[in-house]
Amino acid sequence: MKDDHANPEKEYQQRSFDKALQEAVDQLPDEQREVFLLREQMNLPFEEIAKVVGCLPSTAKSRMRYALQSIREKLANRFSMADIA
Amino acid sequence: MDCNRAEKLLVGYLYQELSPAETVRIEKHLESCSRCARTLENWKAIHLGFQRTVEEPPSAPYLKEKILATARQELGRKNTFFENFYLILKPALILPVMLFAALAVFLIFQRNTQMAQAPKPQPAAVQETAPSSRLDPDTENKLRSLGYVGEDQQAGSRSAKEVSKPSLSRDRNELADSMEARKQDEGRENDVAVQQYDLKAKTETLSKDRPSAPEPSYVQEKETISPPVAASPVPAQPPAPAEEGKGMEVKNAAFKKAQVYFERNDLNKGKTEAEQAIVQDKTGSLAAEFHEAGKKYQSNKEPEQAIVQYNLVLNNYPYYEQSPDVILRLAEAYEQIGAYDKALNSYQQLRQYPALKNTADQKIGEMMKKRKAQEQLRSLGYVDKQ
Repeated sequence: MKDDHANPEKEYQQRSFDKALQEAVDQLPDEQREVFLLREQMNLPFEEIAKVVGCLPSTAKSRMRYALQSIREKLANRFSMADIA
Repeated sequence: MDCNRAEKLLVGYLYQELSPAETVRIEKHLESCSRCARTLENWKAIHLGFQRTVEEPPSAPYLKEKILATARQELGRKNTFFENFYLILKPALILPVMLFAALAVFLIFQRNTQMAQAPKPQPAAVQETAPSSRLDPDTENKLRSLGYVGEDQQAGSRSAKEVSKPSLSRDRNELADSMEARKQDEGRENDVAVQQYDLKAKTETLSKDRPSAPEPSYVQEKETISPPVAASPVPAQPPAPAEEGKGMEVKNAAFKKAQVYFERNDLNKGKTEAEQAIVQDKTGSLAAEFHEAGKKYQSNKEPEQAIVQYNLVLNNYPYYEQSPDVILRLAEAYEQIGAYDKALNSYQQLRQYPALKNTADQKIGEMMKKRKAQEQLRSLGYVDKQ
């Protein structure tokens, strides 16, 4: 956080990344977005997510994996993940 | 382990949901596979980036820096003498307090035990002096305290047997009679108390059995209001038993999921999930939750989401005690999106509540004026026809 404040360019890059990330999440297929949001926003474990959406925990994890792959592909063209992480 | 298998474990590893054995295996693979390691780094960046958007509002680096500076200052500060002393003293204080409490409990227990073991009255002495007594042991004790029994134990005194029998029996009989009379009075008082309790219990039972007859007139009149949306409402349930754990979990999870959809502006899915939650809601507790959610959206200038929340309450919880407030807020939300017909309908429903009749009449006048102006704008072509 200290670096962000000292480096405006990195902060700007991060904000662009965050905005692109939001857009990428909104473009996910419903099933993947559902699992992604329940994990990231509501912080539910995959066991609970599986109960909520009505699938197996392994299915929930697979959907999360596909979601992360999809987001990564959308962002990889514009951003270098190593710089943002 | 191959990369296909490893990638399946990466999600669990990222969110720390792997077993220890799986963790060791995946970490070993990551040490030797740069492709999977890069994938993990990218996913971590996505995870951290999303957490930033959820937790940190777009704001004040200055404020953040100020808070960090204060935190650094606090961490660097050394404890004063008294703070150090208190840290040492705290455990030293706890032990005596616990010992004192244990001692107090022990003393109370011992006292109670001693009282329970107190010597009981001696029935033999009583029988010797009053072999034909018709009195109970309590009465015999009273006689002893009055000196009519046990006098043979006193030095130089006459024996209890030498007491004049007629006078003893007369006094005894008078005492017995007064005791009997007092018992009868107590019995009558108890009967009255029992009757009063029965009457109170019956009254409470009657009021519980009449859920559709509350005292305020506006609540009674509310029953005639038709819900604002055509969907048929779920009939109100009588006071429900406590929800089972699993049903409550499913209800809460569905409610949370619905709110996530609403926040993402997906009203259809939000409404579907919310209705799932309502099906699981045995106690009607979600009515207040939807009400509060609606208020939150309205204050955030999102009347569309608020409208959905309020309609969920009115369609599914017709006996919700805050229904007048919900109808009023629904009307305001419709007004905010320019749906004056709907707003008018809601304000007309509010006229049923005497306390809100004046407000409703005033707003009805305003809505009719606005509706007329809106129609004129449409006819002039300044707004799209609906």
